[in-house]
Amino acid sequence: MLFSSMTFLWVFFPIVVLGSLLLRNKTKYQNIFLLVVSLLFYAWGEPVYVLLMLLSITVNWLFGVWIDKLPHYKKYLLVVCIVINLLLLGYFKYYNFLANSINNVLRSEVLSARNIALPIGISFFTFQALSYVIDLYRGNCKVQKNVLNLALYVSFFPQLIAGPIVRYKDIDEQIQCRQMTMERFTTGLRRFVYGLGKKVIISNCCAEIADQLFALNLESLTVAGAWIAAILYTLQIYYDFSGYSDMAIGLGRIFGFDFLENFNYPYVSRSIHEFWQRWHISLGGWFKEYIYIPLGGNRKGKLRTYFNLCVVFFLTGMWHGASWNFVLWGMYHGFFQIVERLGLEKVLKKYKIFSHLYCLVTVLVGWVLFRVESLSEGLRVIARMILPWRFNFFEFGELTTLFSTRKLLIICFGVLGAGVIQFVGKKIPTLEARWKYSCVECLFCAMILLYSIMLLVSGTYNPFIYFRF
Amino acid sequence: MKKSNNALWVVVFCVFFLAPQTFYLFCGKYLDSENYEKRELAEKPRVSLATMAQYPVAFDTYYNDTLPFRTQIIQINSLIDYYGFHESPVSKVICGKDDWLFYNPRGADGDPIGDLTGTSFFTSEELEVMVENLVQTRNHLQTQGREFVIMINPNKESLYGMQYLPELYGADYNYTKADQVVSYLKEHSDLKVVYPKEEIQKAMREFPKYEFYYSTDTHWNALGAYIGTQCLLEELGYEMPHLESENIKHIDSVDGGDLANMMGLSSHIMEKNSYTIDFIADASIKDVSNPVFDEHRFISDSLNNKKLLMIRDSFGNAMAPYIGGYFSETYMPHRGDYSVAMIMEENPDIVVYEVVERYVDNLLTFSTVQ
Repeated sequence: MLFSSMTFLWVFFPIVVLGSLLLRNKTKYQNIFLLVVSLLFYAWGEPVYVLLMLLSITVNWLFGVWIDKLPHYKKYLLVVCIVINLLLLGYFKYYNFLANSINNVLRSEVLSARNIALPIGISFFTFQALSYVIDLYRGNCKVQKNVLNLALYVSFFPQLIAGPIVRYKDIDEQIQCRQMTMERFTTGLRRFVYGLGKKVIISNCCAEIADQLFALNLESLTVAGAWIAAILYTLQIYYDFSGYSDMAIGLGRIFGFDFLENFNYPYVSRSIHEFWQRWHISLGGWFKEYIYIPLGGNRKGKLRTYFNLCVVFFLTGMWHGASWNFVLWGMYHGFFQIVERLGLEKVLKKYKIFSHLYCLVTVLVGWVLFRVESLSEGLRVIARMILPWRFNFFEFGELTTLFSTRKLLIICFGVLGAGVIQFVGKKIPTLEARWKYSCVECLFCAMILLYSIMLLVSGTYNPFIYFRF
Repeated sequence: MKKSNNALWVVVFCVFFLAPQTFYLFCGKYLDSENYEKRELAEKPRVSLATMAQYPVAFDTYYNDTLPFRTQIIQINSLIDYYGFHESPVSKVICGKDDWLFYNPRGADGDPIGDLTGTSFFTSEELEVMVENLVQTRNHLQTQGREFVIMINPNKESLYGMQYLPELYGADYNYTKADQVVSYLKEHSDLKVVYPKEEIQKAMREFPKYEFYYSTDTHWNALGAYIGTQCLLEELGYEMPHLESENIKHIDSVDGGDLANMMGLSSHIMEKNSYTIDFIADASIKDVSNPVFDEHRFISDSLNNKKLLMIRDSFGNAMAPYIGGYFSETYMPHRGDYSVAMIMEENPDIVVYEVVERYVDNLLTFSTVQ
């Protein structure tokens, strides 16, 4: 089930809110209710793989209990638990990628491809489960003996499908004790509405145009077309992902949970290092906590630091998708992290405008690698962006058929909302303070909600010229 | 946060998440819930163990097709898009200049825009196959003593696109897909091909105050059909009276056509190019069509004792009023109802295969041979 679906907005969400409100003074029963609806939420999209998630929860809960009860063996238990989790993730997500790669290198079919459907959210719930057992091993949290509470942590529907990745230690107390208050309800709803608008209005609009441009025969793609596709995809992915995070955080808040922020206007960054402190913060935090720091972080000399960064960004790329273009995207970001540490960051700190442009262009080009189906396609698009004199620059007709007044207006809002408005708000704090949670803002959010629902309902309209039976 | 502001947010929740379903329970039956989409809407899925895995998708599809206030919300969104931004609310329709609408199914139902830009053109191999197929059909009919004529009618986009479509990258209005096919068929065979594009363009110049295609529909109107029929009959050796302005009557207050209907705005965007022609056939015609089928069947006391079988698409509908009086019997079934056996059953003297440009791919496979 998607947050941006009418089944969620008009059936699931109101029922869950009303049910939780009725049980707001009975946390134990509310947890069971939220667990049941969360499993239903996941089963709605994965009626079979919900059992896989339940298996993962059960395995991690058991290992958690054993780690607590058998401290002498906790290291071995941790290793086995991590291996089981990674095997599950590896099989469902990476088996065919591995098979194709090995077969291509050896030029023969050593491993045959299998028809494996990727369970939705497996990367997210696996990482959350790993976070629990590792934190338990480290003594950063207490064992969760109630399997239902652990299940709720892993499967809680607001963050199950698309994050943020919630670490167990950040939420264990809230599972046992939290309050559904009027203020949390309204601030959560506000956050949810903004997230829905970001996804349905801005991201989907950018996606419409970006998809058309990326679908063009590459011979027809002009320099202008390539840049526009990259810029619009940059906006699309930000508003899609951060929109989902806003909805997740908002929903969590409605039910009394406080999740950590996942995005902090990443496109205002002045370096790739800063970008990764603002983009998908929960994933960066997870890799830092459980990979980078255990490898030594930046405490074992420069060469080791660069190696650790390569490992982290290799894994970051892999986490996003089982394809070499994702790996290249990850390593591309790792490369710039290293270059900045080699001295570029000092230059960037001196020149504000240059640093903003550098970061934007670097990220933009990186998104092309992320978006395309193959490396060769990505390189051909990027070639048009960085070697414009070699290609056809611009075709007026190409652009007029893609854009309309409505889309241009939405894209303008998208550009302004990616950091410009917030920058102005910080410069005029009284304006920001008067706006936030005011009646005018409430009306503005109501308009966003109305238009989002109109777009979603209209999206179900699928007419034909002649009657289809 | 102030308590009054909290209350506002509760109102927002109630209005947008609770009220629609609640109010629809009481007032839904009084609202317009007609199906404008020309497809069967999803039925409510049954819950059963056997179909449990498919239930969520089936329920989502059903719920999306039956949302509370769905028709009203779609219409409001369409009105905002069309009148506010001059943009089509559906991707299959392009809003052109002067309220002209054009069809852009991107291959799902032909590709009129691709027919202009060349992206849907045939390869030389495909054209060879087409010629071979049609010549075989012609020869087969010839052995039975029947005449065979192919009629290709231009897309509205091909005739009116230059004037009313937004600027299209790569469009060549002088060489569209139909032009490609017609020129190839004429160069590589002696097939009889009727292609009224030039004649319609000539008529557009002769009658500048009239349009020959509907502005809100994919089809030609009575004037375009008249010229097209004239071309076909001329090929068959018959003469229709020249179109005269005094015979043309404009019809006011006509609802929008199939493209306006696709946008859900057929009662808001009126058709301005609807006409009738005072046409009197030389013979007395009796319409003996079977209302169950999508067909036209006429018998007449025409002195021409020939029977015409015209396998057609919807462009043939507007030709029907003009054709019946020229043959003793005319049968015009839709190509969807055509079968090879029809040739022997109907035993026509003349077989015409009529197709609009966006469906010209059908010429690759149309055949009268078993």
